[in-house]
Amino acid sequence: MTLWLYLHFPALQLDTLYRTQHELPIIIVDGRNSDIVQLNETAQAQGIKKGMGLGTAASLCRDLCVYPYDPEIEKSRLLEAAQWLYLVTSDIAFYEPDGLLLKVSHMLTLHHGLAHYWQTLQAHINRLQLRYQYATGCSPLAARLFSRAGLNQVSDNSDGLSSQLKRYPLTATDLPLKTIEKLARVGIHQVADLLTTPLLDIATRFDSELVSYLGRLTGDLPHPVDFYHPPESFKRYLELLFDIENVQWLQKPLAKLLEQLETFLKLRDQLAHELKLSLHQRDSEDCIVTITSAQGDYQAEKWLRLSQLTLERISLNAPVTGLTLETVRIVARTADEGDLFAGKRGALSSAELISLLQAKLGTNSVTALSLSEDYRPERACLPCAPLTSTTIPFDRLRPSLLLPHPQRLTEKVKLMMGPERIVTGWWDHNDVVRDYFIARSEQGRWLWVFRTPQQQWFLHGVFS
Amino acid sequence: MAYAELFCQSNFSFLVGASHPEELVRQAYFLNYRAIAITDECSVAGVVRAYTEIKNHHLGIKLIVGSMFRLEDLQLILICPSRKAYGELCRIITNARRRAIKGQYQLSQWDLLSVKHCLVIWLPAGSKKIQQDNQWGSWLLKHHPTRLWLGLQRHLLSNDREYQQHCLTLADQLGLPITACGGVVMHHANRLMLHHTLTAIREGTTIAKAGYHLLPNAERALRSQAKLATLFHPSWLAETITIADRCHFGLETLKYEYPHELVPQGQTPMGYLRLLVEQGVAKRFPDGISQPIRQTIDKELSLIEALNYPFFFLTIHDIVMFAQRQGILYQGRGSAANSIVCYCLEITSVDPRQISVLFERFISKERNEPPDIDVDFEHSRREEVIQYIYQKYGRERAALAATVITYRLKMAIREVGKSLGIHRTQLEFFIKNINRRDRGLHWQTQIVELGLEPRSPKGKQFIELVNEIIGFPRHLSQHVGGFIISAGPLYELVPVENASMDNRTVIQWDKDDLESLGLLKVDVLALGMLTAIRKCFKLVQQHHQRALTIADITRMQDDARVYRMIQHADTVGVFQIESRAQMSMLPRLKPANYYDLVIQIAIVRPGPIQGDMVHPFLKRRNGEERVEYPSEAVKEVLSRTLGVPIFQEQVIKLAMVAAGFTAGEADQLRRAMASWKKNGKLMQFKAKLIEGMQSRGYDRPFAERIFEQICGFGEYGFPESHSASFAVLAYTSAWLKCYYPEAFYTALLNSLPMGFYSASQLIQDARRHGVRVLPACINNSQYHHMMVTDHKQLAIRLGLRIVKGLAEKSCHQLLSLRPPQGFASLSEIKATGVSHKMIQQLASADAFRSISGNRYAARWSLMNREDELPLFEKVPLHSNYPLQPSEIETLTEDYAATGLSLNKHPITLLDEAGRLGRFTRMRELAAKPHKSLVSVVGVVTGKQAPGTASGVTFFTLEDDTGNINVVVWAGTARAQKKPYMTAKILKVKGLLEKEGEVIHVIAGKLNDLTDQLSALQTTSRDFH
Repeated sequence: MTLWLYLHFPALQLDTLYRTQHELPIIIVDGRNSDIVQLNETAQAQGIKKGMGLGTAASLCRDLCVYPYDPEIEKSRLLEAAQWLYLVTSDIAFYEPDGLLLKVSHMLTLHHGLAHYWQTLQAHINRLQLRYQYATGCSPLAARLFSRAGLNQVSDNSDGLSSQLKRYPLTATDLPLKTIEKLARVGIHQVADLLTTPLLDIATRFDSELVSYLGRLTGDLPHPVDFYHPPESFKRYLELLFDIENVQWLQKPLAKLLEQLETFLKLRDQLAHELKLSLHQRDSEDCIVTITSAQGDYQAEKWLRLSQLTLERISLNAPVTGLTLETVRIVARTADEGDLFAGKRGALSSAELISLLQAKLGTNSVTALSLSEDYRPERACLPCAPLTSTTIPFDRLRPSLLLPHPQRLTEKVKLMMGPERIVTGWWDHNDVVRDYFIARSEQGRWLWVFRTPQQQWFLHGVFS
Repeated sequence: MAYAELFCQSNFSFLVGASHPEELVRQAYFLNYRAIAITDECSVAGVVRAYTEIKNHHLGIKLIVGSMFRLEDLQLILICPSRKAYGELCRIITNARRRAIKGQYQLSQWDLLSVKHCLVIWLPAGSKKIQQDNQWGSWLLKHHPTRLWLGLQRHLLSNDREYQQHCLTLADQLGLPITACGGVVMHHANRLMLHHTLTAIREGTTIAKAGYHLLPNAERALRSQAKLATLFHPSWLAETITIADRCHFGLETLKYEYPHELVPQGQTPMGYLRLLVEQGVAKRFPDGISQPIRQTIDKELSLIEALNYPFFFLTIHDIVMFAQRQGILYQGRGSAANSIVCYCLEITSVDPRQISVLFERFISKERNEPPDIDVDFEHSRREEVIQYIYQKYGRERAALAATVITYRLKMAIREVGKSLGIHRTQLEFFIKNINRRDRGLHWQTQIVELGLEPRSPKGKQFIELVNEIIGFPRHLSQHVGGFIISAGPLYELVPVENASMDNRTVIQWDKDDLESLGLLKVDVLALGMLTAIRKCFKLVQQHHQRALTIADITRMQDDARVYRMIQHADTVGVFQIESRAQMSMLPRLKPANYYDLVIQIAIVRPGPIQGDMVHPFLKRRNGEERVEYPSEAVKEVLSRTLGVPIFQEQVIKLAMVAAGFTAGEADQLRRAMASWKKNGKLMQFKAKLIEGMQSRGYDRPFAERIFEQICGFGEYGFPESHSASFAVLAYTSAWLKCYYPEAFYTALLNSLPMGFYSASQLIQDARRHGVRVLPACINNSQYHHMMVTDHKQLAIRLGLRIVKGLAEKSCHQLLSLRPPQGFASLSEIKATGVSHKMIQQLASADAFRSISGNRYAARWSLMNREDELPLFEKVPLHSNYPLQPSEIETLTEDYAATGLSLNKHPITLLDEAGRLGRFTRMRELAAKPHKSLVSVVGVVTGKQAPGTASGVTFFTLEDDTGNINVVVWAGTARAQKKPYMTAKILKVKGLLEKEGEVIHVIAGKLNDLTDQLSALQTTSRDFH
C-alpha cells in the first residue's frame, strides 16, 4: 500500500495577503457569481459563511472589506509552499489552486516512521503561516477527500481508513456535480452506497469516469501522479579567499561567477535579463545589487561591463566575505538578427544603449516620451518606459519647446491667433481653464501664451 | 441683433446631450434667443418636451423642429419649415431607423435626395477632409439649390481658425449662404462635467481615460448673444433669423385622424356610434331601460360628440368585438370606461344599475384631457389582439407608444461611479445596501453611512453627478400596450422605429408626449385573472352545465355569502384582494357591497397608507369618529368616502377646489404624480398646494397629509375608475371561489404564473377548503390540470404541466401516444421515443408511481440503457431496487421537481421527528388570548418591507395548517440579523396580537431552524 498525505489550504489568498488585519471583517469573493470563497474569523463572527452571496453578506455586515478572488496569487503561494516543503519531503504534486499531495511511503525509513515524519513536516509547514487541513489516505483521492473534509488525521491503518472513507457523503468527493446529483436521484448519497452497488450495474448506467474515479479512490486502480521538480535557476556562492574592502577588487571573483553563468546559460541556450548579486559583508547585512540587461545577455564579458557600472555606484560599509550570484529572470534565446542591411548603426543596438544608460543612471532615470490623450499641454506627453511605442494621432499646433511650468508673461506681445479654449481636468483636481494664443514678441519670437479667467497672462511655450 | 439656435441636441440624443429639452428652451428664452431648434440625432423624441415647456410657461420663444444626421463624412441638419416638411422628416427618420437595429440608424443618399421641403444646413467636416467636403457640398447644392446653407460653428478648438477659413472657402466656391450655429449639447457651461461623464459612459471607459473623446471646453453650451456677436460675422447671425422666419410649423398643428374604415359608407361616426349604442341597449337591457338611464346615455353621447371622441369609442369597440368573436375575455377600465355607453358597447361589464355611473365625474369639457380607456385581455391571448390590430390597420398605421427609460438611482450610481473610476465591487456594495424605501434617509446620507467620503472632491462630484443624471433618458422602450392608430401613414405624424422585440415597432414619443399633443392611444393590456376567469367559466359549463359571463354574475347583485367569505379574508386567489396587506384589512373594513370593494382595492395602497388616511377611514366607518368636512366644496369631493380622500381623482379635485389649482395645473399635477420617482417634479407643487390650502382656511396638517398622499400615489396611484373595474373582477373571482371551488382552483392553476400565490400555496388553500387534489400521473393526467370525478366526488387532478422544465409540445406528443388503458411499463414509455430528459423529469415528479414504484426505482431502471439495444429488447426492466426515499427526501424531491408536495408538510415532518420543540399551529392561534406569548414555526414564504410601514418587515410563515403573519420591528431585525436575513424555516417567539379576526405575531426571538431539515435528511438515512 502506498500512503499519501494531502494538505489543503482553505484560505490561501486570505492568509497570504491579509493575515495581519484581524480587526476588520474580510471576505474574498469570486467575481463570477459573487460567492464568498474565503473569509476571516471577524467576518465569521458576523454570521457570514462560505458560499453566501455578496449581497447577503453585505447586508449582514456593513463595514465589510471585500476583495476579489485571484487564483494567480494562490498558485504562486502554492508554488512557494511546495518549494519550502521540498526541503524535507521529496515527492510533491500540485492540486491547484489550494492543495498539495505528498507521497509518504518512501519517506518513512528516512524519518523513522510516520509519527516522526509528520512531526518534522508539521514543524516545517507551520513556518509558512498558512491555515491548512491535512489527512493521510491509501490513495491520492482518498487523502484529498479526507483533508478537504477537515479530518486532520495522520494514520496508516488501511482498514480504518477504508471504513472511514465509506462514511463520507458523495458531495465530499471530486465527482462532477452532475454525477453526484444523478446518483442522489437514485438514492445513492454516500461512498458506501456506491461501493455496495455492483460495479456492473453502475457501468451500465454511468460513464466510465465514475468507475475509474471509484477505482482510484479505493486504490484499486493505479493513479499516476506528476511530481514537482524545482525549477532550474542559476544560483552560486563564492567564498572569497580574503576580505575585500574595495569594490573594484570584486571584478576578478565576479568574473569567475559570470563565466559559470555563461556556461549555464549557453548549455540551455538562454539569456538572462536580471541578475541578483549579494555581497556578504562581515558583521553587516548583505548588500544586494541588481544588474539588468534590457535585451538579455549570456556573455560574461557583457555582464561584467554592466556590473562594473552598477558597482561603481555603491559603497561598502564592511569588508565583503563572499558573493552570491543568482538569476532573477531568464528567457530562451531567440536568434539575433545581425543582418547587414537591417539599418543598424554603431556597435550598440538601442536596447543595448538603454541598458547601458539604465545601468549607469538607475532604471528609473531613463524614460522615453509618449503622447497621451489629454487636452492639458502639460499632460499631452508623458514619460514612459523606454522602447515602448504608442500611436496616438496628434494634429494640434503646439510649440516645440514647452516650458515645464508656465511663467508670468512679462514682455509685450501681439496676439496673432486664437483663442483655443481649454476647460478640463476637473476629475483629477488639476483643473485647467485657459485661453491659448499664438503671439509674437517684439523680438519677433513666436510664443505660446495663455490667459486665465482672472485675466492673468502666462507664457507656456516657444515655437521654433 | 437677434439670434436663433439651429443646431441643438438634447439628452434625447442619448449620452450626447447633457441637458433636458425643457432646460434648453428655458435657457434660450432667458438668453433672449428668437428661436431654438431641437435637432436630436435622427430623432424628434425630445421636441414634445420642449413644446410643452414653452406652452406651460408661456415662454416667448419659437420652437423649431429638426434633426441632425450623419452619413459617412457628411453631417447635416434638416429643419422643418412646414407641416409637409415635418412629415418628410418623420418619414426619413422612420426609414433610417427601420433599416437599422434598435437604437441605431442608417441613412441613405436616397433619403436625402427625397428631401423636398426641409431646409438643409450642411456642417462641413473640416480641412482634413477637403475632398469629401467638396464632393458632398456640390452634391447637396445640386439637389437642394434653394434650401441649402453652410452651418458654421465656432467652439474655440485648436483648429478654430483653420476650420473657419475652410468653411469660408467652401461657401465662396459653392456660392452658399453661411449661417451661424452653436452645435449645442448643453444648456449651460456648468453641465460640462456631466457631459464628460456621459461621454465616458458612452465610450465604456472612465473619464480619466476618455482622452480626446471628451469635449475640450464648454463652448457647446447655449452662449450669450454678446459672446456670439464677437464670434460670428453679423450676416451669419442674421441668416439664423432668416431661416427661423421661414419656419411656420408648430407641433400644435398636428392633427390626429382616426381610421375611417370603422364607419360604414354613408354614415357619420357619431351616427354610427349612436346606432351601436342603441343595439347595445337592446342587448344589455332586454326589459327596456328606465328614464334616468336613458338620460345618462344621452348626456354621455352628447359629451362624446362635443369633445369629438366618437372614433375613440368606435376603435375600442372594434377591438373588443374582435376579442368577443375569438372568445377572448376582456374588461375595460379607466375614466371613460365607467359609462353606460361603454357598457352598451360591451367594453365593460359593470351593470350601471348596480353602481352609480362615474363617467361624468371623469370626463368634462373643462378639463382638457383625453378620455382614458384601457382594455385588459387574457394574458395568454393578448398577442392575438395585437396581431389583429397590426393586420387590420397595417404596420404603417399602427404602432406602440414608446416608454422613455430614464436613469434611476441604481443605474446612475453604477454608471457615474464607473466613469469616475470607483471600483465595481464598491459600487455594487453601495447599490445593494441603499434602501430606497427608507424615506427617512435620503440616499446621499445612506451612501455616506456606507463609507463614501462626502467632503472629498470625488465624493462631492459623485453625489452631484448622480443627482444630475437621474431622470436623463437612456433609451426608448416599448410601452406595455399603448397603441396609436391613425388614418394615414403614422410616419407622417411621428417617426417609427424598431423595438427590441421582433415584429414590433414603436413611435418616438411616450404616453405623456402623446397626451401633451392631444393624441389618443388605445391601451391593450394583459391580465392573468381574465384568463383564469375564462377557464373557470368553461369548467363550470363542462361540469355543472351552467353558462356564465362576468355580466351575468354582476347582474345577480351582491351576494351575502360571497361577502361573508371576503370579510373573513378567505381570499387566496381572489383578484386584487389576496395580498397580505389586503387580507389583513378585509376583516376590519368588512366590505359588504360592490362600492365597498372599490374602496377596499384602492385603500390598501401606498398612497392612502402614506397619507395616513386608512385609520381615519376605518374609524369613521366604524362610527368611532364623526364625519365632518372643512367646507362644502370638500364635502362634494369626499362625501362618498366619508370625508377621507382615497382615490387619485379625489386628490386632484381637492387640489382644484381647496388649493385653487387651475384645470391645467391640476393636469400637470396628475402627470407629475405618475412620474415623480423618475424626476422629482412633484416637489415644485408642494408649496403651491400647501399655501393654497392654508390661504383658503384649511389647516396645515391636513394640507400636508394631502401632499404626502400625493407623493404616495406616485407610481402606484389608484384612480377610482380603475378600482371600479378591478372590483368587478375581484367580485367575480370571489364568487367563483365561493360557489365552484374546484373549477376556480383548477382554472387558477392553469393560468399560472399570475397573482400572489404559487401553485403550492394555492393547492394547500384548496385542500383546506376540502377540495381533493390528486397527484400528477403518467396514466391519469393530461398536460393541464383537470377537474375529475373521483369516487363520485369532484377533485382536481394535477396535470403534467406542474413538472418543472417540461416542454409542452413534447408532453402533448407523449400523451397522444398513450394507449387507452394507459402505459403498462417504463419500457413502453421509452419505446415512444420521447426524450430522455423528459422521462427523467417525469420520474422526478413521481409520475411513474403507478407503474414502477417510487422514483428511485423508476430512475434506476431508466438509467439502464441496455434495453435500448436491439439484443436486449425482450428483457423486461426489473424493478427490485433496494433504496427507498425517506419522507424527507420525497418532500425535497417533490418540491424540486414540481414546486409543491401533496405529501407531508415540512413542518409536520420536523414536528414528528421532535425537532421543533413546543409551538402553536396557525389554526390554534385563534383560540389563544390577545397579548399572550406564543411560539410559531413555519416555512418562510414571504418577506415584505413595505415602504408604507417604516421599520417593519412582514414575514409570512407557512405551517401545516395555514399562513401566519409575523411582524418584525427594525430593532428586532437588527439584533438578530442572521435569522432575519437567511432563515428558510423560522421559529418565532413573540406576542400574539388580535384585532377581531386579524392575527399578527409580533416577533421577539427569531430562531433559524433551516439546518434542522438537512439534519433530518442525514439522520433519516441511517434508519434503513
